[in-house]
Formats: sequence, C-alpha cells, structure tokens
Amino acid sequence: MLFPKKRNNQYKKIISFLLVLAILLAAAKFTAGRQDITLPEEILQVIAAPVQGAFQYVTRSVQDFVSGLKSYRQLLQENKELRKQLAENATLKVRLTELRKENMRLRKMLELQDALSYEMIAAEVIARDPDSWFNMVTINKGKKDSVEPNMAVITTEGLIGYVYSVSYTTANVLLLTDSRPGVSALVQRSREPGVVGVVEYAPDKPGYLQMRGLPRDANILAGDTIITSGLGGIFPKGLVIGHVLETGVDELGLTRYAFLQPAANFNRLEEVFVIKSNSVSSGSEAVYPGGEE
Amino acid sequence: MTARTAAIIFLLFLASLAIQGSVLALAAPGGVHPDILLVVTVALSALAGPRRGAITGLCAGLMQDILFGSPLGFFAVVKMLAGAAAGLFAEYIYKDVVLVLMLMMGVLTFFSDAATFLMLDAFGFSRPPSLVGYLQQATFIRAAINFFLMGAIYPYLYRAQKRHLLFTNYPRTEE
Repeated sequence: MLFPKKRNNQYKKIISFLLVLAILLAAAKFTAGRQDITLPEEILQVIAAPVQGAFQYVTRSVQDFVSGLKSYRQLLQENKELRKQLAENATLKVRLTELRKENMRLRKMLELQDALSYEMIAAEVIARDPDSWFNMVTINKGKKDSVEPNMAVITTEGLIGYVYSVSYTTANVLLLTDSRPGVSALVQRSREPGVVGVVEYAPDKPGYLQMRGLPRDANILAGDTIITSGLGGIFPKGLVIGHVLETGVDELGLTRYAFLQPAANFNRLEEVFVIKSNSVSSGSEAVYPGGEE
Repeated sequence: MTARTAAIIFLLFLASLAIQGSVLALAAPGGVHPDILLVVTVALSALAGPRRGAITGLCAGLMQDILFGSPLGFFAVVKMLAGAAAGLFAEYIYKDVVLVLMLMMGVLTFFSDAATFLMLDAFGFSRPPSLVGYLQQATFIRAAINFFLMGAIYPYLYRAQKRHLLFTNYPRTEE
C-alpha cells in the first residue's frame, strides 16, 4: 500500500472534491450559453414554481400593502397641505374682500374730505357699547389727535353723532340713535326760515330718528332730506342726517313731526370722521360729494 | 443522509431560494441583496462537517443554477466551496456559540463573493471593475446582513440538529 489507510482516505476525499469541482467548472463552461434545459432541470423548476409563486404572492401582497400605506400617508399629507392651502386661500380671499371694501370706503372718505371744507380727523371705530342701553362707539383717536368733546362725527353717508368723552388715545362717540343728543335740523328741499326741528331718537321705532317741533304747516314730504341747521354750536350746517319716511301731526295738533331713516348705517360703522370744531366757521355748510346739497 | 434529511434540506433550499427571489428583494440596503441560500448552506454545513457541507453546498448551488438560469455548476462551485469551508471551520469551533458562527458567516460571505467574482472573470461574464472595490462596497453590506441572518436562522437549525431532524451520525454535534 502506497499510503496508510487513513491518509489514503483523505486523499480520496480531496481528489473526489477536486474532481467534482472540475466537473462543475466544465459544466459551467459548457452550459454558459445554453438555452435549452434538461428534463431534471425542468422537473425541479416545475416543483419550485408553486413555492416561488407563493412567496412572490406574499411579497407582492406585502409590497402592495407597503406601497398602499405609503400612498395613503402621501395622500394624507397631500390632503393636509391642500387643506392648509385652501384655508390660507380662503383667508386671503376674505382679506382681499376686506381690503377692497376698505379701499372703497377710504376712497369715499377721501372724496368727502376733499369735498367738505372742514378740517377732519379720520378715525376707526374700535369698539361698540355692548349693551343696548347706550348707543355709543369708541374710536381710535383721542386727545393726542386733537379730538375734543362735542365735535361732530360723520361717515361718508352722513351724521352719526358727536364726541361725548375723550381719552388720550380714544374717544367715545354718542350716536344719534341714543336718547340723549338732539340735533337742530331743517328740510333741505324747502330750507324755509324758521322751519327748524329737533332730530332725536325715535322711542317707538328703534334704529330710526324722529324730527319734532316743526310748524304744523311745515313744507315737509316723505323722501325729503333732513340736514343739520348749524344751530346749537356742535354740528356744522348742512350735514345729512336722514330721509323722511313719513310725517304727521302730534296729538294736540299743534306741531308736525316726521320719522327719518338715518342716512348713515348705524349697524355698520367702521371708518368715521371727526369734524374739528375750530375749523367750522359760522355759515359754512357741508356739501356731500354726489349729493344735492 | 437519510431521505427525510434530504427532503428537509431540499425544502429549506427551496424556501430560501423563493425568499431570496421575493421577500429579500424588498430588503436591499444600498442595492445589495442578502444571500439567504448561502446563509442556510453555511449553517447546515457547519452542522454537517466538511464532506457533507460540500455536498450540501453543491446541491444548493445546483438548485440556484437551475432555478435562476445561471450556467449549470457556476453557483454550485461557489456554494460547494463555501459549504466545505464552513464544515471544515466548524470542526474547530463550539457550534452552540452563535456569535462565532455569525462571524464565520461574515467571512464566508467575502469568500463567496470573491469566488463569484473570480468565476465571472474566468468565464468572461460581465463583472464589477474591481474585486477590492466590490468587496468594499457591496460585500461589506451583504456580509453584515448575512451576519444577522445567520444569527436568526442558525439557532433553529442547531436545535433541529440536536433533535436529529437533520444530519445523522455526525459526532461533533452530539457534544
């Protein structure tokens, strides 16, 4: 025997291993460009196919689930962003509308300021008396802006009241719809001397005004415009107060009265003008832009 | 090797190849796929010894060649070498220390990829431009994944071997 039995066995193993290796390498070399498959390969592939298919199915399901989850998350994120954008757009739209309205109001005010010969202080209404007992609003101009008590306050539509009290930065304006102020007024159309009444709040018709103390035979008709007379020292002459809705004679039959629709909308006060008292000269009269005054 | 062992190993390989081609295709960090068939081969070979390990690797590689259309014998050579090496190394380590097996798996991944590279080169197939570059980029990641896969798979196979469900008459696993 050339080698001992144990060593011989080892050599056999090594030679077998190398032989198999060589066969495999040769097989790989010869089958590299091969397209046909043998029967055993086909059988193995047929056996493996369902298993591979099953795993593939599981994989696809997992993939679909994961991609579905991703899509769902993406959609959620997208939805969230779109909602945010929508909300921003809606806010912008509201802001734009507000700015447009403000622009229109400011233009009107500018026209009014140009048209009226008084020196005026533009102000914004920043608060309104929350209870219904007093018709008072707060504006954002006060002593530092030279606002003083008893100055007339108007909007682009007409008179709304006068300054009741003043702080350093704000002022309270008593509206005509309150029971306290009374404005000396006349009928713009007739301008009859002596036909002067007092406009005050109408207790029977909230939100409306009442003109009383007119002569029984006063020339006043429904639709007439009522303006300030300039008497009393607070309100300059010619400020529009309102329009006559109906007229009548009082219970005693001595004087005539009229219910007025206020020219200004008291429910929507935003920008107002305070007419500086020292700018009002006697005999000067307000002329509203586009009005017939 | 009994018929039952052969059937179990065949099913293991089949499942590994199916998983390799489907589920693990999803897990490809840096575009590198783990080689679960190699992991199973090495794990089985470590339990089987060098001779059976070589046969196990040969069978695994042949199955891979047949099912995935590579030249018949190509991966059979690579896996056989890996199986033989695993079986040989395993004779000198404690088989119940998983971490050592995991480390061996990492090393054998480099060995397997290097062998594959050389085979590709020898057969004139397209291959990565540099062996060192390939080992540094792709194999490093694959070795890391295979390392953890070995840690997950080997304990089950070890337990199966302890219950004599796999190889028989191999004294090293009886310790």
